Amino acid sequence: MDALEIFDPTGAVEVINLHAPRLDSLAGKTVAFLSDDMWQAHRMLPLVREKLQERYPDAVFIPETEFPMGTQQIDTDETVDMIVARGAEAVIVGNAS
Amino acid sequence: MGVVRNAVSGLGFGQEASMVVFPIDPFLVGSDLTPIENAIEKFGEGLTDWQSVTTETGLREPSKVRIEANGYEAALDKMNRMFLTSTWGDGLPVNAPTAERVDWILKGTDLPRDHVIGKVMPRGGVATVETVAVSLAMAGGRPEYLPVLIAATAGLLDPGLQHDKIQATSGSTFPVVIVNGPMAKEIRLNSGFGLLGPDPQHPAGASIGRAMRLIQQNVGGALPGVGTMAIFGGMRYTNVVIAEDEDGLPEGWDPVSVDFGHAKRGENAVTVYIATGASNVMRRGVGKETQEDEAEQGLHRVASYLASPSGHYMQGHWDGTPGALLVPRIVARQLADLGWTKEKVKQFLWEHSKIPQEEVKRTGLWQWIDDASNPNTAATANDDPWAICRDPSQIILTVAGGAHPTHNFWMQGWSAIVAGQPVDLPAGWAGLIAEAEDDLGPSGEMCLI
Repeated sequence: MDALEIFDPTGAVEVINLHAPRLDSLAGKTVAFLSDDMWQAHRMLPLVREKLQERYPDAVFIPETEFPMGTQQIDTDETVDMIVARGAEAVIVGNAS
Repeated sequence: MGVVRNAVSGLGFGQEASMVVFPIDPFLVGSDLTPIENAIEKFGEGLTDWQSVTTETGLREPSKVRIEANGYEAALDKMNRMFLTSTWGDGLPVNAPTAERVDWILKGTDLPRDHVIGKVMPRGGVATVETVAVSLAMAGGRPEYLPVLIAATAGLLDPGLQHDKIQATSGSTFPVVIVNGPMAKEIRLNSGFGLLGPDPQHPAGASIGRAMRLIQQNVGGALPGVGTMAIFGGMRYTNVVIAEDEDGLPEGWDPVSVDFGHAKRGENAVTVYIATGASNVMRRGVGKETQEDEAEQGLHRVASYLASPSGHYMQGHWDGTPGALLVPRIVARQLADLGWTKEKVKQFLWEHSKIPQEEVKRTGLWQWIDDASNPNTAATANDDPWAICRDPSQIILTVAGGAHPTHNFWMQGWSAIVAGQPVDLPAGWAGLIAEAEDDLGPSGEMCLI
């Protein structure tokens, strides 16, 4: 029997962040929407916002239009600061395809 | 889903995310959004019920893999099958990245094997010197190729190049590496006939480029249809790794590395940009024109290829490049003899590749310009005619290819910058080249293979 011992070519990955704990409910919460302005996000995100608002009438859903939009525009510390400043407790980001 | 999982991993999370997933249909223009409406509960559940399986931070280093079989050939076959089923290969057989082979490759650098070159997005895998040596070992590489691979990987990971986007895009992009300096000949990197390959006489470019592709896929997660949405793939087995034909540069024409400020003439360096297409351009006339007419008509034909209403130009419009034009030495010399400096050629191509505003609007290019992330580019949307880049100097013009006058070669860019890196050679370089000459025969002008 012959054997080859070889390297796994995928290399190391580093987990430096854990996902945030989930909310107990959306009722009464503030949720921000963030858009990369791609893949019909301009139609989909308003629809999702509208339908979630119907289910959670006392929640606040901040429209994506109140933050920078675009793949590069949302990928900044400034955008994160804006979301925090608005008191968002959760974020929905779209769209990927 | 793979794209998002990769992206989340690249941000330093576990390779998972709370997602609501649909087939492609709702994401298309004029789509029916009923599936989104019907799945509305899932959006809420993603914020309340979803749970991550990753509960601890830290570095995850993969273990070595042991493959047993009855005989070396059988073990190699088994390894290659495993590489395919593990999605670590590229469809062609690879060499075994054993400790012995990887240690041999590592003779090509004085850097420690755990030296971190950077994280390869979107997956965020850590590219160390050892990691890239593993890919080079798989790709049939040799130690003397490693300095170019390290420099090219560093260039690819230059933050300005935004490799996270080119890795995931549908645009079938591929890195192009142009090597300048005397070491290019020493490693028998092709600058002449067939330099885009395949070429058994000059195997360095294929190995280095294939190793880059394996790094992009295995470390960076750019697996077709899962981690990269490159629709067509773009013949990317070996990317493009070539040498500039520096001996063929006419007097007064600087190497590409000098044009873009990455090195002084005579220094070893790589220039890296991202391309999204390749076109052979027939520039020669029928031979009955005057030299002057043939030169200018040929440049007009090249310019017409550049004058493409492509949204990809947005990426490099202000700070990057619209692409690279490969011009054989004989054409460069003819142009120079007629008084065409490199700057004059670039200026001509820039002027004659401008797109009339009527075409900008008719093709929908206007919306892409207006929507560009760089506000300076967006502000050019109404320019008439519209220039494919801010300045002629952004066009990469390199003397390369076989000494034959008929064709030029254009590789359109999708490149936010033109990156550059020095190529650092190890102290034992001369010994490595001597070993290569023992193995492969003489390099440089005496190169027979």
